[in-house]
Amino acid sequence: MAWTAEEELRLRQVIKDAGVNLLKENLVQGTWGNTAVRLDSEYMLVTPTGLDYIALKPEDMPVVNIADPSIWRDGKKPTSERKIHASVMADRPEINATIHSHPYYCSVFASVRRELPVQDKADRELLGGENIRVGKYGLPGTKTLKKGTVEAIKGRNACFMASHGVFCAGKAMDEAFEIMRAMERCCKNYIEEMTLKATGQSVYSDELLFDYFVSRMSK
Amino acid sequence: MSKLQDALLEQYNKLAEYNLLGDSDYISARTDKGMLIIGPDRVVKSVEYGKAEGEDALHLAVYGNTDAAAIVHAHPAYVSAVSRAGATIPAVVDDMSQIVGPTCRTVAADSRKVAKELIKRNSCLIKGDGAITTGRTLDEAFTCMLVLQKASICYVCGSVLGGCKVINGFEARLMRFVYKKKYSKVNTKNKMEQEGNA
Repeated sequence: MAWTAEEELRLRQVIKDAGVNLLKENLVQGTWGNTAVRLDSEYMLVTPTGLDYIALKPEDMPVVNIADPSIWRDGKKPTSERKIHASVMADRPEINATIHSHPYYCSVFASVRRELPVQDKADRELLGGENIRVGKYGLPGTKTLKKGTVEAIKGRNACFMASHGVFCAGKAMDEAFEIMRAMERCCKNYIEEMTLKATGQSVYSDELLFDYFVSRMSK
Repeated sequence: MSKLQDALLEQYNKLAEYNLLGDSDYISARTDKGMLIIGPDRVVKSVEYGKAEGEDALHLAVYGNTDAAAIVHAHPAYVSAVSRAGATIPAVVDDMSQIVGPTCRTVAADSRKVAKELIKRNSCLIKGDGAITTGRTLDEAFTCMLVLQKASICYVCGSVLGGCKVINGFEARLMRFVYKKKYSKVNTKNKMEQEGNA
Protein backbone atom coordinates (compact mmCIF):
# COMPACT_ATOMS: atom_id res chain seq x y z
CA MET A 1 0.00 0.00 0.00
CA ALA A 2 1.63 3.20 -1.15
CA TRP A 3 -0.64 5.57 0.74
CA THR A 4 -1.37 6.30 4.39
CA ALA A 5 -4.58 5.57 6.28
CA GLU A 6 -5.01 9.33 6.87
CA GLU A 7 -4.71 10.04 3.14
CA GLU A 8 -7.28 7.36 2.34
CA LEU A 9 -9.70 8.79 4.90
CA ARG A 10 -9.28 12.25 3.42
CA LEU A 11 -9.87 11.02 -0.13
CA ARG A 12 -12.98 9.09 0.93
CA GLN A 13 -14.39 12.36 2.23
CA VAL A 14 -13.32 14.13 -1.01
CA ILE A 15 -15.44 11.68 -3.04
CA LYS A 16 -18.39 11.98 -0.68
CA ASP A 17 -18.27 15.80 -0.81
CA ALA A 18 -17.89 15.83 -4.61
CA GLY A 19 -21.02 13.67 -4.92
CA VAL A 20 -23.06 15.97 -2.69
CA ASN A 21 -21.79 19.07 -4.53
CA LEU A 22 -22.56 17.57 -7.95
CA LEU A 23 -26.14 17.07 -6.74
CA LYS A 24 -26.29 20.56 -5.24
CA GLU A 25 -25.13 22.25 -8.44
CA ASN A 26 -27.50 20.07 -10.45
CA LEU A 27 -24.57 18.50 -12.30
CA VAL A 28 -25.89 15.01 -11.63
CA GLN A 29 -29.41 13.55 -11.41
CA GLY A 30 -30.57 10.83 -9.04
CA THR A 31 -28.04 8.07 -8.49
CA TRP A 32 -26.52 8.61 -11.92
CA GLY A 33 -22.93 9.69 -12.39
CA ASN A 34 -19.83 8.60 -10.52
CA THR A 35 -16.43 9.80 -9.44
CA ALA A 36 -13.00 8.34 -8.71
CA VAL A 37 -9.77 9.45 -7.03
CA ARG A 38 -6.39 7.85 -7.43
CA LEU A 39 -4.75 6.32 -4.34
CA ASP A 40 -1.51 5.39 -6.12
CA SER A 41 -0.40 4.01 -9.49
CA GLU A 42 -2.29 0.77 -8.84
CA TYR A 43 -5.43 1.67 -6.90
CA MET A 44 -8.27 4.17 -6.87
CA LEU A 45 -11.37 4.86 -4.78
CA VAL A 46 -14.68 5.02 -6.63
CA THR A 47 -18.35 5.59 -5.80
CA PRO A 48 -20.53 2.51 -5.29
CA THR A 49 -23.27 1.51 -7.73
CA GLY A 50 -26.88 2.73 -7.64
CA LEU A 51 -26.80 4.57 -4.33
CA ASP A 52 -27.96 8.00 -3.30
CA TYR A 53 -25.11 10.55 -2.85
CA ILE A 54 -26.74 12.01 0.25
CA ALA A 55 -27.04 8.65 2.03
CA LEU A 56 -23.58 7.57 0.90
CA LYS A 57 -20.92 7.34 3.65
CA PRO A 58 -17.16 7.81 3.12
CA GLU A 59 -16.58 4.18 4.20
CA ASP A 60 -18.92 2.94 1.42
CA MET A 61 -16.34 3.72 -1.31
CA PRO A 62 -14.57 0.59 -2.51
CA VAL A 63 -10.84 0.43 -3.38
CA VAL A 64 -10.53 -0.69 -7.01
CA ASN A 65 -7.52 -2.05 -8.89
CA ILE A 66 -6.69 0.20 -11.85
CA ALA A 67 -5.09 -2.48 -14.06
CA ASP A 68 -7.93 -4.94 -13.40
CA PRO A 69 -11.04 -3.14 -12.12
CA SER A 70 -12.84 -6.44 -11.55
CA ILE A 71 -10.66 -6.64 -8.41
CA TRP A 72 -11.97 -4.53 -5.54
CA ARG A 73 -12.16 -4.58 -1.76
CA ASP A 74 -13.69 -2.68 1.20
CA GLY A 75 -16.81 -0.56 0.83
CA LYS A 76 -19.85 -1.45 -1.29
CA LYS A 77 -20.06 -2.84 -4.81
CA PRO A 78 -18.32 -0.30 -7.07
CA THR A 79 -20.01 1.49 -9.97
CA SER A 80 -20.09 -0.55 -13.16
CA GLU A 81 -18.50 2.44 -14.89
CA ARG A 82 -15.30 2.00 -12.84
CA LYS A 83 -13.70 0.42 -15.92
CA ILE A 84 -13.84 3.76 -17.71
CA HIS A 85 -12.33 5.62 -14.76
CA ALA A 86 -9.63 2.94 -14.50
CA SER A 87 -8.80 3.07 -18.23
CA VAL A 88 -8.45 6.85 -18.20
CA MET A 89 -6.28 6.73 -15.05
CA ALA A 90 -4.12 3.96 -16.58
CA ASP A 91 -3.68 5.93 -19.81
CA ARG A 92 -3.03 9.25 -18.06
CA PRO A 93 -0.64 9.03 -15.07
CA GLU A 94 -1.02 12.77 -14.38
CA ILE A 95 -4.77 12.39 -13.76
CA ASN A 96 -5.76 11.84 -10.12
CA ALA A 97 -9.48 12.54 -10.12
CA THR A 98 -12.25 11.77 -12.59
CA ILE A 99 -15.93 12.68 -12.73
CA HIS A 100 -18.49 11.14 -14.99
CA SER A 101 -21.92 12.72 -15.10
CA HIS A 102 -24.82 13.87 -17.26
CA PRO A 103 -25.44 17.55 -16.64
CA TYR A 104 -28.06 19.15 -18.88
CA TYR A 105 -26.15 21.11 -21.48
CA CYS A 106 -23.29 18.62 -21.77
CA SER A 107 -25.96 15.98 -22.37
CA VAL A 108 -27.23 17.99 -25.34
CA PHE A 109 -23.83 17.63 -27.04
CA ALA A 110 -23.65 13.94 -26.09
CA SER A 111 -27.10 13.54 -27.61
CA VAL A 112 -26.39 15.34 -30.90
CA ARG A 113 -22.90 13.72 -30.96
CA ARG A 114 -21.26 16.94 -32.00
CA GLU A 115 -17.89 18.42 -31.01
CA LEU A 116 -17.87 21.51 -28.83
CA PRO A 117 -15.63 24.33 -30.08
CA VAL A 118 -13.95 25.96 -27.07
CA GLN A 119 -13.80 29.67 -27.77
CA ASP A 120 -12.35 31.26 -24.67
CA LYS A 121 -8.56 31.14 -24.07
CA ALA A 122 -8.82 30.38 -20.33
CA ASP A 123 -11.31 27.59 -21.05
CA ARG A 124 -8.99 26.13 -23.69
CA GLU A 125 -6.23 25.95 -21.09
CA LEU A 126 -8.48 24.37 -18.50
CA LEU A 127 -10.10 21.88 -20.88
CA GLY A 128 -6.87 21.11 -22.73
CA GLY A 129 -7.69 22.14 -26.30
CA GLU A 130 -9.81 24.03 -28.78
CA ASN A 131 -12.39 21.31 -29.29
CA ILE A 132 -14.03 18.71 -27.05
CA ARG A 133 -14.61 15.43 -28.87
CA VAL A 134 -17.40 12.86 -28.63
CA GLY A 135 -16.46 9.24 -27.88
CA LYS A 136 -17.90 6.39 -29.92
CA TYR A 137 -21.37 5.23 -28.89
CA GLY A 138 -21.59 2.04 -26.84
CA LEU A 139 -24.03 0.49 -24.36
CA PRO A 140 -23.22 1.11 -20.67
CA GLY A 141 -20.52 -1.27 -19.43
CA THR A 142 -19.19 -2.17 -22.89
CA LYS A 143 -15.61 -2.08 -24.19
CA THR A 144 -16.71 0.17 -27.06
CA LEU A 145 -17.86 2.83 -24.61
CA LYS A 146 -14.68 2.50 -22.53
CA LYS A 147 -12.30 2.65 -25.51
CA GLY A 148 -14.28 5.46 -27.10
CA THR A 149 -13.94 7.55 -23.94
CA VAL A 150 -10.19 6.93 -23.57
CA GLU A 151 -9.64 7.88 -27.25
CA ALA A 152 -11.85 10.98 -27.19
CA ILE A 153 -10.24 12.43 -24.03
CA LYS A 154 -6.65 12.02 -25.29
CA GLY A 155 -4.82 15.32 -25.03
CA ARG A 156 -7.90 16.87 -23.35
CA ASN A 157 -9.33 17.03 -19.84
CA ALA A 158 -12.89 16.26 -20.91
CA CYS A 159 -14.90 14.46 -23.56
CA PHE A 160 -18.51 13.63 -24.33
CA MET A 161 -19.79 10.07 -24.30
CA ALA A 162 -22.27 9.58 -27.16
CA SER A 163 -25.93 9.61 -26.01
CA HIS A 164 -24.69 9.30 -22.47
CA GLY A 165 -22.90 12.17 -20.78
CA VAL A 166 -19.55 13.75 -20.10
CA PHE A 167 -16.25 12.62 -18.61
CA CYS A 168 -13.88 15.04 -16.87
CA ALA A 169 -10.36 14.41 -15.59
CA GLY A 170 -8.17 16.58 -13.38
CA LYS A 171 -4.99 16.54 -11.35
CA ALA A 172 -7.18 16.72 -8.22
CA MET A 173 -10.90 16.58 -7.49
CA ASP A 174 -11.33 20.35 -7.24
CA GLU A 175 -9.78 20.73 -10.71
CA ALA A 176 -11.98 17.97 -12.15
CA PHE A 177 -14.98 19.73 -10.63
CA GLU A 178 -13.90 23.05 -12.14
CA ILE A 179 -13.61 21.33 -15.54
CA MET A 180 -17.11 19.90 -15.18
CA ARG A 181 -18.49 23.36 -14.39
CA ALA A 182 -16.63 24.92 -17.35
CA MET A 183 -17.93 22.23 -19.71
CA GLU A 184 -21.53 22.86 -18.71
CA ARG A 185 -21.06 26.63 -19.06
CA CYS A 186 -19.35 26.39 -22.49
CA CYS A 187 -22.05 24.02 -23.79
CA LYS A 188 -24.81 26.34 -22.60
CA ASN A 189 -23.16 29.40 -24.18
CA TYR A 190 -22.71 27.62 -27.50
CA ILE A 191 -26.36 26.50 -27.57
CA GLU A 192 -27.47 30.07 -26.92
CA GLU A 193 -25.22 31.30 -29.73
CA MET A 194 -26.66 28.72 -32.13
CA THR A 195 -30.20 29.71 -31.09
CA LEU A 196 -29.46 33.30 -32.08
CA LYS A 197 -27.99 32.11 -35.36
CA ALA A 198 -31.02 29.91 -36.12
CA THR A 199 -33.55 32.61 -35.26
CA GLY A 200 -31.67 35.64 -36.54
CA GLN A 201 -32.23 37.41 -33.22
CA SER A 202 -29.65 39.25 -31.12
CA VAL A 203 -30.83 38.62 -27.55
CA TYR A 204 -31.18 35.10 -26.18
CA SER A 205 -34.10 33.92 -24.04
CA ASP A 206 -35.42 30.42 -23.35
CA GLU A 207 -38.75 31.51 -24.89
CA LEU A 208 -36.97 32.32 -28.14
CA LEU A 209 -35.59 28.77 -28.24
CA PHE A 210 -38.96 27.23 -27.26
CA ASP A 211 -40.81 29.15 -29.99
CA TYR A 212 -38.21 28.09 -32.54
CA PHE A 213 -38.57 24.45 -31.42
CA VAL A 214 -42.37 24.48 -31.45
CA SER A 215 -42.51 26.08 -34.91
CA ARG A 216 -40.00 23.52 -36.27
CA MET A 217 -41.98 20.61 -34.82
CA SER A 218 -45.24 21.82 -36.31
CA LYS A 219 -43.75 21.99 -39.81
CA MET B 1 -49.31 8.07 7.54
CA SER B 2 -47.35 11.10 8.74
CA LYS B 3 -44.11 9.69 7.38
CA LEU B 4 -45.66 9.59 3.91
CA GLN B 5 -47.00 13.14 4.39
CA ASP B 6 -43.50 14.32 5.23
CA ALA B 7 -42.11 12.50 2.21
CA LEU B 8 -44.66 14.24 -0.05
CA LEU B 9 -43.76 17.68 1.28
CA GLU B 10 -40.08 16.89 0.92
CA GLN B 11 -40.49 15.87 -2.74
CA TYR B 12 -42.64 18.92 -3.44
CA ASN B 13 -39.96 21.23 -2.05
CA LYS B 14 -37.42 19.43 -4.23
CA LEU B 15 -39.32 20.56 -7.37
CA ALA B 16 -38.12 24.12 -6.81
CA GLU B 17 -34.66 22.99 -5.75
CA TYR B 18 -34.21 21.09 -9.03
CA ASN B 19 -35.74 23.78 -11.21
CA LEU B 20 -38.78 21.65 -12.05
CA LEU B 21 -41.44 23.85 -10.50
CA GLY B 22 -43.99 25.31 -12.90
CA ASP B 23 -47.64 26.30 -12.59
CA SER B 24 -50.05 24.01 -10.70
CA ASP B 25 -47.72 21.11 -9.99
CA TYR B 26 -49.01 18.17 -7.92
CA ILE B 27 -47.38 15.14 -6.31
CA SER B 28 -49.30 12.17 -4.87
CA ALA B 29 -48.78 8.77 -3.30
CA ARG B 30 -51.11 5.77 -3.38
CA THR B 31 -52.85 4.72 -0.15
CA ASP B 32 -55.26 1.84 0.62
CA LYS B 33 -58.41 3.83 -0.17
CA GLY B 34 -57.08 6.36 -2.63
CA MET B 35 -54.16 8.72 -2.30
CA LEU B 36 -52.42 11.52 -0.45
CA ILE B 37 -51.82 14.55 -2.67
CA ILE B 38 -49.92 17.83 -2.32
CA GLY B 39 -50.21 20.91 -4.55
CA PRO B 40 -49.10 24.55 -4.75
CA ASP B 41 -50.62 25.34 -1.30
CA ARG B 42 -48.24 22.69 0.13
CA VAL B 43 -51.02 21.09 2.20
CA VAL B 44 -51.26 17.31 2.05
CA LYS B 45 -54.82 16.04 1.68
CA SER B 46 -56.33 12.59 1.51
CA VAL B 47 -58.66 11.79 -1.39
CA GLU B 48 -60.66 8.57 -1.79
CA TYR B 49 -61.77 6.87 -4.99
CA GLY B 50 -65.10 8.03 -6.36
CA LYS B 51 -65.01 11.46 -4.73
CA ALA B 52 -62.61 13.27 -6.98
CA GLU B 53 -62.61 15.81 -9.74
CA GLY B 54 -60.07 17.82 -11.75
CA GLU B 55 -56.45 17.17 -10.78
CA ASP B 56 -57.48 14.63 -8.10
CA ALA B 57 -59.47 12.63 -10.65
CA LEU B 58 -56.48 12.57 -13.00
CA HIS B 59 -54.24 11.04 -10.30
CA LEU B 60 -56.88 8.54 -9.15
CA ALA B 61 -57.51 7.47 -12.74
CA VAL B 62 -53.81 6.63 -12.99
CA TYR B 63 -53.79 4.73 -9.66
CA GLY B 64 -56.95 2.88 -10.67
CA ASN B 65 -55.46 1.68 -13.95
CA THR B 66 -51.77 1.16 -13.23
CA ASP B 67 -49.52 -0.27 -10.53
CA ALA B 68 -47.93 3.14 -9.87
CA ALA B 69 -47.29 3.96 -6.20
CA ALA B 70 -46.43 7.62 -6.75
CA ILE B 71 -47.19 10.35 -9.29
CA VAL B 72 -45.54 13.65 -10.18
CA HIS B 73 -47.48 16.02 -12.45
CA ALA B 74 -45.27 19.00 -13.16
CA HIS B 75 -44.61 21.72 -15.71
CA PRO B 76 -40.86 22.32 -15.99
CA ALA B 77 -40.05 24.82 -18.74
CA TYR B 78 -38.46 22.52 -21.35
CA VAL B 79 -40.97 19.72 -20.71
CA SER B 80 -43.78 22.22 -21.25
CA ALA B 81 -42.20 23.35 -24.54
CA VAL B 82 -42.31 19.77 -25.85
CA SER B 83 -45.87 19.21 -24.59
CA ARG B 84 -46.89 22.48 -26.28
CA ALA B 85 -45.47 21.15 -29.55
CA GLY B 86 -47.35 17.87 -28.99
CA ALA B 87 -44.17 15.96 -29.86
CA THR B 88 -42.84 12.51 -28.96
CA ILE B 89 -39.40 12.51 -27.36
CA PRO B 90 -37.32 9.65 -28.74
CA ALA B 91 -34.48 7.99 -26.77
CA VAL B 92 -32.09 10.94 -26.98
CA VAL B 93 -29.95 9.94 -23.98
CA ASP B 94 -29.48 6.54 -22.42
CA ASP B 95 -30.78 7.28 -18.92
CA MET B 96 -33.98 8.43 -20.57
CA SER B 97 -34.41 4.92 -22.04
CA GLN B 98 -33.74 3.46 -18.60
CA ILE B 99 -35.84 5.63 -16.30
CA VAL B 100 -38.37 7.41 -18.51
CA GLY B 101 -38.78 4.79 -21.23
CA PRO B 102 -37.68 4.36 -24.88
CA THR B 103 -40.05 7.17 -25.92
CA CYS B 104 -42.27 9.70 -24.19
CA ARG B 105 -45.43 10.58 -26.11
CA THR B 106 -47.81 13.51 -25.85
CA VAL B 107 -51.45 12.60 -25.16
CA ALA B 108 -54.57 14.77 -25.03
CA ALA B 109 -55.51 16.42 -21.71
CA ASP B 110 -58.01 13.70 -20.77
CA SER B 111 -57.54 11.63 -17.58
CA ARG B 112 -58.65 8.37 -19.24
CA LYS B 113 -56.16 8.78 -22.06
CA VAL B 114 -53.38 9.67 -19.64
CA ALA B 115 -54.16 6.65 -17.42
CA LYS B 116 -54.20 4.36 -20.44
CA GLU B 117 -50.86 5.69 -21.65
CA LEU B 118 -49.30 5.00 -18.24
CA ILE B 119 -50.31 1.33 -18.01
CA LYS B 120 -47.08 0.21 -19.62
CA ARG B 121 -45.10 3.41 -19.27
CA ASN B 122 -43.67 5.62 -16.54
CA SER B 123 -44.22 8.92 -18.26
CA CYS B 124 -46.26 10.90 -20.68
CA LEU B 125 -46.53 14.47 -21.84
CA ILE B 126 -49.97 16.05 -21.64
CA LYS B 127 -50.83 18.39 -24.52
CA GLY B 128 -50.33 21.90 -23.16
CA ASP B 129 -50.23 20.66 -19.54
CA GLY B 130 -46.67 19.55 -18.72
CA ALA B 131 -46.01 15.90 -17.98
CA ILE B 132 -46.85 13.07 -15.61
CA THR B 133 -44.29 10.61 -14.30
CA THR B 134 -44.96 7.59 -12.10
CA GLY B 135 -42.82 5.32 -9.95
CA ARG B 136 -42.63 2.52 -7.43
CA THR B 137 -41.60 5.19 -4.93
CA LEU B 138 -41.95 8.99 -4.74
CA ASP B 139 -38.24 9.26 -5.33
CA GLU B 140 -38.47 7.20 -8.51
CA ALA B 141 -41.35 9.29 -9.91
CA PHE B 142 -39.39 12.44 -9.05
CA THR B 143 -36.17 11.18 -10.64
CA CYS B 144 -38.20 10.24 -13.72
CA MET B 145 -39.42 13.85 -14.01
CA LEU B 146 -35.86 15.08 -13.58
CA VAL B 147 -34.58 12.85 -16.37
CA LEU B 148 -37.58 13.77 -18.54
CA GLN B 149 -36.59 17.42 -18.09
CA LYS B 150 -33.07 16.52 -19.24
CA ALA B 151 -34.34 14.58 -22.26
CA SER B 152 -36.55 17.56 -23.11
CA ILE B 153 -33.56 19.90 -22.86
CA CYS B 154 -31.60 17.63 -25.22
CA TYR B 155 -34.48 17.41 -27.65
CA VAL B 156 -35.26 21.14 -27.64
CA CYS B 157 -31.64 22.41 -27.63
CA GLY B 158 -30.66 19.70 -30.11
CA SER B 159 -32.93 21.40 -32.64
CA VAL B 160 -30.43 24.28 -33.01
CA LEU B 161 -27.45 21.90 -33.24
CA GLY B 162 -28.66 19.79 -36.16
CA GLY B 163 -30.83 17.35 -34.18
CA CYS B 164 -30.29 14.49 -31.71
CA LYS B 165 -29.02 11.08 -32.71
CA VAL B 166 -31.62 8.56 -31.51
CA ILE B 167 -30.57 5.35 -29.71
CA ASN B 168 -31.88 2.32 -31.61
CA GLY B 169 -35.10 0.79 -30.29
CA PHE B 170 -33.66 -2.58 -29.31
CA GLU B 171 -30.85 -1.07 -27.26
CA ALA B 172 -33.22 1.43 -25.66
CA ARG B 173 -35.58 -1.37 -24.56
CA LEU B 174 -32.67 -3.50 -23.37
CA MET B 175 -31.41 -0.70 -21.12
CA ARG B 176 -34.92 -0.19 -19.78
CA PHE B 177 -35.21 -3.90 -18.96
CA VAL B 178 -31.86 -4.02 -17.16
CA TYR B 179 -32.70 -0.90 -15.15
CA LYS B 180 -36.11 -2.13 -14.02
CA LYS B 181 -34.93 -5.61 -13.12
CA LYS B 182 -31.58 -5.01 -11.59
CA TYR B 183 -29.99 -1.67 -11.14
CA SER B 184 -32.47 0.10 -8.90
CA LYS B 185 -33.57 -2.82 -6.70
CA VAL B 186 -31.58 -1.87 -3.60
CA ASN B 187 -32.42 1.79 -3.92
CA THR B 188 -36.16 1.13 -4.39
CA LYS B 189 -36.32 -0.97 -1.23
CA ASN B 190 -34.42 1.66 0.79
CA LYS B 191 -36.63 4.45 -0.54
CA MET B 192 -39.88 2.59 0.21
CA GLU B 193 -38.82 2.21 3.84
CA GLN B 194 -37.71 5.84 4.09
CA GLU B 195 -40.95 7.15 2.60
CA GLY B 196 -43.08 5.02 4.94
CA ASN B 197 -44.81 3.17 2.13
CA ALA B 198 -43.04 -0.20 2.33
